[in-house]
Amino acid sequence: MWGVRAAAALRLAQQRSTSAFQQPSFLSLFSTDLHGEPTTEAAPQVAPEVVVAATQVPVPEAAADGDSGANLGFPEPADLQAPAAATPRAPPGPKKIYARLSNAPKYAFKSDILWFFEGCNLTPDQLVTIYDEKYRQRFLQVEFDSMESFRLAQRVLVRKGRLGGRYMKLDVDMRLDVDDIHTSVKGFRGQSLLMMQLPTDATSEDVERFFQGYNLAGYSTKFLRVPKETFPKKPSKMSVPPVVERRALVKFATPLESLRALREKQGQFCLDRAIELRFIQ
Amino acid sequence: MAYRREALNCLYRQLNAKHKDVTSLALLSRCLSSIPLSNSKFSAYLFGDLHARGLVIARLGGGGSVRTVSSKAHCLQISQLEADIAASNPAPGFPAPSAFETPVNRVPGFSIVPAALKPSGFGSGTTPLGRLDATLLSREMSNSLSHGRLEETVRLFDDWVKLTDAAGNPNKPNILAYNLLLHAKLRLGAHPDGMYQIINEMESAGIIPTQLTYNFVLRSVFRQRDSRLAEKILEKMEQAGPEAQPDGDSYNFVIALCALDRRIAPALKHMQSMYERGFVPSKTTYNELLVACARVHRTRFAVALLKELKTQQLMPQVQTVGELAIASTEVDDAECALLTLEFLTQQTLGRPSQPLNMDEGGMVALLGTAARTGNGSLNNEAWNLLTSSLGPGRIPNPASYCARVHACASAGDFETAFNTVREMELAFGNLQGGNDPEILSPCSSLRPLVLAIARAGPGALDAAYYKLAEIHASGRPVCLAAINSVLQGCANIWDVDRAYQTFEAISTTFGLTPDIHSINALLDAFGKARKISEVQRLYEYMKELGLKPDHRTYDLLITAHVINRDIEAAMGALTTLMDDGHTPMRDTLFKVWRRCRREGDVKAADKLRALMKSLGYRDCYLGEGRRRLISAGLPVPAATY
Repeated sequence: MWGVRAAAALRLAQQRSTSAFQQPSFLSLFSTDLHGEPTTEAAPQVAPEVVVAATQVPVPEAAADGDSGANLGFPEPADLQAPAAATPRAPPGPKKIYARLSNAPKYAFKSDILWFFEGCNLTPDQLVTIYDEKYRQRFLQVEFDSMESFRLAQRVLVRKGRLGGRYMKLDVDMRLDVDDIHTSVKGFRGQSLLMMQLPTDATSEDVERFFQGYNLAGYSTKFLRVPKETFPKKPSKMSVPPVVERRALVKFATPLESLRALREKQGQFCLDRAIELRFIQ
Repeated sequence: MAYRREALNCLYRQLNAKHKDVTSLALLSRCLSSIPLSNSKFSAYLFGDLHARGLVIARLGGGGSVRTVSSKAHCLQISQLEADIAASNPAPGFPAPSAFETPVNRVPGFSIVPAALKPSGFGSGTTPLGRLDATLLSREMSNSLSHGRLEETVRLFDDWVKLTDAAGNPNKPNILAYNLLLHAKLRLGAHPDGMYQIINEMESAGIIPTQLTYNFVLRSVFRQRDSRLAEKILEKMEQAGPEAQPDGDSYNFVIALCALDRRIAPALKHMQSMYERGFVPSKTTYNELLVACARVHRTRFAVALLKELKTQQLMPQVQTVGELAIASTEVDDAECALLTLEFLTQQTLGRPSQPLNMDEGGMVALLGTAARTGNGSLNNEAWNLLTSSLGPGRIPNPASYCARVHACASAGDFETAFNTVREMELAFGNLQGGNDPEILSPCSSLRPLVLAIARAGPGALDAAYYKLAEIHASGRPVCLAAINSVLQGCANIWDVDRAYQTFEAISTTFGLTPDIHSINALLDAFGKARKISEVQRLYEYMKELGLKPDHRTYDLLITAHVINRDIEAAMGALTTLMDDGHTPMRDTLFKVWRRCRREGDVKAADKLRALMKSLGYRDCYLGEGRRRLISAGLPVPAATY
């Protein structure tokens, strides 16, 4: 998990640095990201841990340093701070706030979350489900246009209380929809199912046969290998190869078709295994 | 002299090694006993250093190991040592010779602590520690404990047991002192192993632990989340005498611990014995157990618990019930899901000011369970909760309606299913509003209803048709999608005449205009029966009605041509389909490709194969491997990737 997150953070930093610098060097990346800190360009009303996305507006180098540093939230030594008067300021662009909505109901639709945060002017694109390496739902990433809308959402959360029996939590976090898991899920979101406990010898023909009668999309099947869940957890020996489980992402022509397949095919058998299905959104 | 120096060096090595185990202490005491300490100089040299380490050594007694050493193994040697110390002159720098003047102050072991180092609160400052008997010690310990001086309480006990009474026998604490010690240690956060060892000590000393003793240890075990040790203690309590029989708290601790470790069966076993002894589990215990059942998907146990809660009129936590409802959908346990929904509804009714917001996704999952199990009560309960959660201003998702129709059809409640379809038609029937036309399609969304109607054959289809006719006769509106479902059912059982009559009845009996789904259903019936001329005429009729064919129409048309072995017409329909902006399904392309192969049209087959590849579909030649292997009766080899 840490590896995935770290890789995501690094990639994000690289992307932002690339947008800010024409040719970022390896050293400059680390000198700014790991030891850097937002300069005065960071919004003063924003808390230090707040993630502020890099704007697309080209900014001077000092300001870019500050932005990329702010993304990781590391403190900056005082001697690295450029004098504010000498640095020309970039025009303040729209800054996105990324928040983590934890403990959301397991099977909640995006429409449920949008309805819950009614009045916060959220759109479906601003909600991204973050999956872990086993393709289980970790949390929802919510993109806010400003700190004010984030605060408003927090107030809504307090006022409305539970959704589906659960108390949700909304915290500011770094942007996380850039990792490998997201990349592999990206094309499948909204109209796909995750097949769990797939037999090891199942082929794409078996998967299509399982969903016979449903309208599958092109490039519909993607096989995955995930570390197998064992309970109770035993310490793994180095000599034993890690046990993996086979899963598959299956894309349907429409979201409604995928939900119909979820309802009708849940628990049905593919070869010799009962398949558990999850909706990927 | 050299021998003495060597012995002292040995002693210092042991002291500096910081080995706090019994072995090193035993060795240490052996060293001590081997030194003839009649010389005051050596005694001062030795004990001066020991004073500095006195507290450290005294603290080693926390686990009881030092007491074992001092009270048993080396007691005689140490007594001899004390006698030597008492006989010798006090060392220079020692505060008071009186510390050694009376037998009661002869301290066994190594914790000869000068007055300056003694805890200030002992005996309320009046009674020396050595003068306390067991009862007074308990009182002193209780006093310290009530003032929150936990470490002092433990130290008081540890120091006292190292002393001897007036007769020279080692002090023997009573049960009260032990209980106070355990209480203090519990509040200090001691490890349960150490506390359990104290119980062993008590038993070996002939003191019978009471219920309170065990409960202190159980609390400590609870902190460490060790359910097996807790079970061991509980078993010991159950086998013990009447003074140590477990009470409700003991059982609650053990059951909750087993639940936290996700060990449902032992938890239920203890709950059973709890009931037999006349205790009732607490609400927290029930909650923990229900959560554990939800986590490991043992919903049958949860059902038993929920029924028990119902009889006791207890309400579990809303969050717990919600988790259990979701878990029951994953294992398709309709009874458990229904019970949880009843609790949730009760909760909603109990607090009208705070309505429960249920997420639609979860409710769709519950409706799916109702659909798969055919449980009508669960279906109605879930739908009521969903509509009350959504409120009057929000229309349910099409997926919710579809799940509801599916659940009604599985339960055989066709009237409710038709009513729901009617609601769907009102909400999503207007295609001008950008709604997906597939929402009311009997081939996809309403397919479960069609299958349920057609499952019992023509009789069931007629029954469904007459029900619709009855609704129409009573003046209530009948939705076209329901009639289309009956029509598609007729097509599914290859009953062309019944299908055609139903199609005719749309306009004649019900006074409605057929839509594209009616045409598709009839096309399906004609195509299957290889009535190609009727198919062509119907296609023309559809154009006359001004209906725009959808991808399903083209698929059926192509299939009809394939069945008729007319490749040219099938390819023409395929071209029209793609010209209209639709994407052909793989099944359709594969059917045409196979017909091309069989008719020997290699060129068309290659073209279709290239088309499939460009659309991202699996290659035609990879489609039938499994079927061939199964039909040939050969074992299926492992696939290679």
